Amino acid sequence: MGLLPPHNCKYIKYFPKAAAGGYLLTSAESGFYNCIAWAIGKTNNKWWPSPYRQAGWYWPPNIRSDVSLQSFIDMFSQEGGYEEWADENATLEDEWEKIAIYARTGVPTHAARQLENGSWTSKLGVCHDIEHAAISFLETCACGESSYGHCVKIMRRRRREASPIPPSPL
Amino acid sequence: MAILHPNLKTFVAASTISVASLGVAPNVFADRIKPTPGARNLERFAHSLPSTQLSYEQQSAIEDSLDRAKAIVRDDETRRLFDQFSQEWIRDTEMFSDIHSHLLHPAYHKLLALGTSILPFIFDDMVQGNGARWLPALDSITLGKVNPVPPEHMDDAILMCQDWVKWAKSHGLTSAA
Repeated sequence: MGLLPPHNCKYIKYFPKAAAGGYLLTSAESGFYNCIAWAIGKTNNKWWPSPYRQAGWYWPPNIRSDVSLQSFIDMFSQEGGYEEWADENATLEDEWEKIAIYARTGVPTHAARQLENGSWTSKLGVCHDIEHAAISFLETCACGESSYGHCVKIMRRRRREASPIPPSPL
Repeated sequence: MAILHPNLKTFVAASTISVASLGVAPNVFADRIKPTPGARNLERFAHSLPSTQLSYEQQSAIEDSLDRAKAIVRDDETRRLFDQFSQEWIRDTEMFSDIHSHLLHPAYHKLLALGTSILPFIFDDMVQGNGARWLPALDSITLGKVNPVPPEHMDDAILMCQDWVKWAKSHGLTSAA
């Protein structure tokens, strides 16, 4: 199936570039998990660093809890086995599964995971999962930079070492 | 109200949750406000809560807010405020994944300030499958004194929501109950 722009979709105003390039809604809306959880392959909690525990939110207790890029790098490294990778284009390599961490003004905002077909899967906040063709599709809005900012870090792990990621809950 | 200190947040919740423990006659407003089924359920719920040790100043502040709190719980104004604040909260935060956008939003704190009066609406929304967003609010509004979630479910929002809905139904706090 190719990537098709959904009609009358509320995301068009947030990410017009994604709409122009095409993207798919791949799940129902769900508030049970967020983009970080989805990137690491979890769907039963929202993952975000915080020094305070809140019901429904999770962050590994052994990972630093400040909202910094390093916190996210440490989490993806220790929880998912990803390593930092200097590949700004995030090209598809069959043997590597990659994730992209977005940040705005240096503060992490979002993460996406590359699929085996080369496109990317993202959980938009507490809304839908989408499949988008490129990392850059979530980087701009009509006013310029999107609220997700830009991709600031690519990490990767060998696909054969990766635990099976469940499909989007429908 | 932009950011509430944790102690203040607890106090705001206490101002409505401790109605029963202060010994105010339940029917004091009966002559002008007709209790709804949800309000009656809430009344029973409030009486089931353990009493809270409060200072004289806190009790005075609570008594001052009682009229408003008990009036709110008994008419459609609660529903209107709940809908207004929750829609504003969701509209502004649904695209974001960070905990701070969600839990520091002013509309979220207005919801917390409505206290136990919104529990029936929260549980109705949870029954519809929108439970995860309300888990931190439930903990705040009930002052952490009502916890139907067993420790082994604490890291699974789906199970936590199921536990809360089951508890709410058993206490008559949902429309479907």
